[in-house]
Amino acid sequence: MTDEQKSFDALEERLNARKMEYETMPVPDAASQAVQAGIRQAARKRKSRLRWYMSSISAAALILLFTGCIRVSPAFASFVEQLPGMEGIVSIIRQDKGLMMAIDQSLLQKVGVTDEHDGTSLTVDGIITDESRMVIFYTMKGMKDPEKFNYDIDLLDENGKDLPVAFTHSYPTPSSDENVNENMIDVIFTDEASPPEKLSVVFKSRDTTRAEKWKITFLVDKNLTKGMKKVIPVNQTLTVDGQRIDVKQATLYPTRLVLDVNFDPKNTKKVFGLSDLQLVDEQGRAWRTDTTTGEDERSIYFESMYFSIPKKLTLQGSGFSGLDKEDLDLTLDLKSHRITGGPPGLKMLGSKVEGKDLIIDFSVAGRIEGGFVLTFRKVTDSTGKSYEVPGSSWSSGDGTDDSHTIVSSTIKNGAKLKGEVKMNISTYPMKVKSPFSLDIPVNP
Amino acid sequence: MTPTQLTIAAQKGDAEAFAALMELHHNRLYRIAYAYLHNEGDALEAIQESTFRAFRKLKKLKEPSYFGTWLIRILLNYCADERKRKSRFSPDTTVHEPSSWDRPADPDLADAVSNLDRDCKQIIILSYFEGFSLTEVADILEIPTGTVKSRLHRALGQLRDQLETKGDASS
Repeated sequence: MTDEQKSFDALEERLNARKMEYETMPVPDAASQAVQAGIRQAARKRKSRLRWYMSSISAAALILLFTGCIRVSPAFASFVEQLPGMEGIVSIIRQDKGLMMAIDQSLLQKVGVTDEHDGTSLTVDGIITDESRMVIFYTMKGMKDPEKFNYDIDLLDENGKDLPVAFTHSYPTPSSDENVNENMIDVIFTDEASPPEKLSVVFKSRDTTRAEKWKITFLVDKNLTKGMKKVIPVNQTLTVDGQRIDVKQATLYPTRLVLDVNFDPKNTKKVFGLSDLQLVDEQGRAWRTDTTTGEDERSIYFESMYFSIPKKLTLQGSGFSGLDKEDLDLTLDLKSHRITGGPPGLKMLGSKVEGKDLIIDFSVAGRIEGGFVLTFRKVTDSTGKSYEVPGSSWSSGDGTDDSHTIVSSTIKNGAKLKGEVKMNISTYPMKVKSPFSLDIPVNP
Repeated sequence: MTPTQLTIAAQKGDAEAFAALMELHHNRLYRIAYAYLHNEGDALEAIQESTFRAFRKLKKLKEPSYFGTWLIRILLNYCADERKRKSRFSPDTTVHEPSSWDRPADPDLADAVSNLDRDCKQIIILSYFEGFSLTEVADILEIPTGTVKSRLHRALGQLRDQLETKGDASS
């Protein structure tokens, strides 16, 4: 055996000894939590594009939570898959059993109109709509940069005007065929708006060098769900951790249930959202929510049980996310990082200028779970000029420390901000645990 | 369900199946990330980001039985990028009960491994510590087996050189 061979053998032995140490390396519980955080992050991103046309609804109050999965019955799946162009729908709506039942009840309107040019085609496969919601299923082929989704979507009525609605649009679901993206646009109609007779869906490329546009116009059959709305009066008050929440009524539509609640203005805490909210029926089936609109007057959207009306329905929740109203305002000294007022445990870590914007990094006490991040309604400088804070991004764990989350808030056009600024908190990851339940009289 | 069945279910959009699948792999991910990045905060960040990327790209995975190797590839790609642009917040806050990995019986060797260049370190972690075969390592890194062999040879050479400088390699 050569010397070289010997030295390699000795080295391998040492490496094998190190392997033992590798294999006994302890894995912290946080590893599992990091996996969960990654899944939540991915789930949230999917639903993160939204656009508001109505000033009466605050975009900050639209809360998207990750709800679990509902399995589709194979019979249903094969039913939908038989419709040409509809194969993708099953996987898109599998989280919404109300929508699946509505499709099962033949409420899906087939459209099948395509606009194609420059190597990209957009097809509206079908829609499902009632007075409260419209879901538009589409397929885009040959989309450029599907990861980025470089398109703006416009929804126009018969006169070519923007519909006064809010809609959410998910990131394209990655499909096995990379050039085909099947997806949906989920439109919310509130009291002031209803579906148009004729709808145009327009996709505009954000690529400024080539302003391409795809437009599809089709008729909407409003009679299919006409008169199907059912109102269930509730008129009861919940008291959760001393905060009064009036539950006014539930309105049942084929595609969803809307629960109207009102947070008492005299409450000492600002409630951002109710935690783990669900409606549970007598069979233990849970009807979930992933969207709310409004501030203190709030509409909470649940999956619809229209085609499977339960005998008994109970609203359940584990508490709420909220903050003492007096902690909502703070003054921040950008130079010394000193914060006056605001919630305890909030610290400024640093800031940097990015283009015209200023990005401030905060450390927030607690972990961000269930969807509420630190966001600001507005920021005002010493001269009274106000700035928007359109975005916050976060990463869990201040390094290895589980008890903190780092949030980066972007102040639009704030690059020149100096000295003291006043900030008003819109949402904050503070949770109050206080389980509650309330019976909803479905069959009075 | 078998891991392959879980992968297929997850590809169809079943988030619970995906979570179950990740549960099977997260220990390994953590060890690789920790061995590579040397601290818990970065390793956890790597797991979160890899989970995120895997979830979003899952449908691009052509062969469900390769989920494990594919996931490691995502992790290693992340780790490689992360080393390049070291994160803004250097986490050094927690003190753990030191494990034998952090307090090696053979500190010279442990140092030598952590000082290896990126390609060599990956090879040592995968081949020696994780015990993957040459073919498996080739799959994970998407390089030919011949390249795996030559990198392995180079890695062992680098280790030996480092240890010889300390004058104890042939002892």
